[in-house]
Amino acid sequence: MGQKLVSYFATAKAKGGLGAQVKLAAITKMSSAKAASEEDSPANIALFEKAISMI
Amino acid sequence: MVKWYNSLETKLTVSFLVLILLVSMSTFSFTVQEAKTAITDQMKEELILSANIMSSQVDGDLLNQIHGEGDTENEAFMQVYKKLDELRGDNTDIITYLYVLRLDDEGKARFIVDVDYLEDGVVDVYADDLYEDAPIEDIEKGMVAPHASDEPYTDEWGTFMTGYAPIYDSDGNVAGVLGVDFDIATVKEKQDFLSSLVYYILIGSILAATSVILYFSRTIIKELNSITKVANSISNGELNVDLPEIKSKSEIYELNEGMRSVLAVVEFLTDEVEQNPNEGGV
Repeated sequence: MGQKLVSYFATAKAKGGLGAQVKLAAITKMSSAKAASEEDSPANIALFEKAISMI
Repeated sequence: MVKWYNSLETKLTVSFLVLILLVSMSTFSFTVQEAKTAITDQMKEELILSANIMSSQVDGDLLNQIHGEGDTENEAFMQVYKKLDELRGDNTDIITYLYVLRLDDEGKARFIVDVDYLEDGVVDVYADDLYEDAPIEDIEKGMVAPHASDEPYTDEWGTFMTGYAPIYDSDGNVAGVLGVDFDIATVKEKQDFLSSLVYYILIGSILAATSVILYFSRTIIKELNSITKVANSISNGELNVDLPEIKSKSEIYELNEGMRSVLAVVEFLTDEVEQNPNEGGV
């Protein structure tokens, strides 16, 4: 469940630290804990990909 | 907890209700007044037409042969009476009274012939009888040209609208004026029906509009209250809360989505602090 989604938080941290992670959470409306409980569905992955591109 | 008099629901509902009432009352007054005027104008037209046609059928020379009480039921009187009776015909439900008048030297109205001069076989209205409380102004206008009273008129016999038209003799002089009374009950019935109809339509519209306003304001307030509850929970440190699902893509939806982002951020930061207590999480 959600391992791919959680990995995006690591990507965000690498890009911009905590601030980027906060922004990722705000845009996706998911904390890392919630992302871990969600499925790596194509819709969720697309959402996180878009969010990463905005950070 | 918002007091009811500060509530958006109360303010929205009361504001719209006041507005609707103002518009409705104005519309009601204007519509009913205009309709009453239209009905009255139509009756006046009918009266003028009726009086004009009937007066042309009465021989003015006969009226010149009827002067005082002693001329009641003389030949001229009876001829005029028969003509009036013929003119009224079977229309007694519409034409309440039909009569011929003249103005005396003092400007008072006096009957020449009244189609209902008999009551129970006995003469009740003699020739030259004074018409007390007569609408002199209307009668004077009727002696010049066909004319109808502007408003319903009440005398000892009831409330009517009256049409007047001059009767000419063979020399072209005005020998008298024909008066025809229409029972106002018909007019009032139409006006009352119209007033009631407009009244009930307006009441129905006000109720419907109020229901719609109440429904929408309650929906908005309910959604706002749900979001407020979540915000309060977050501020109390309770992050295990669910935001409502807002179906309409309105400003409330946008607010809800914003709160969803806030909740996600607070959850993330809380997790970071818990996982990295020594770093302080920031």
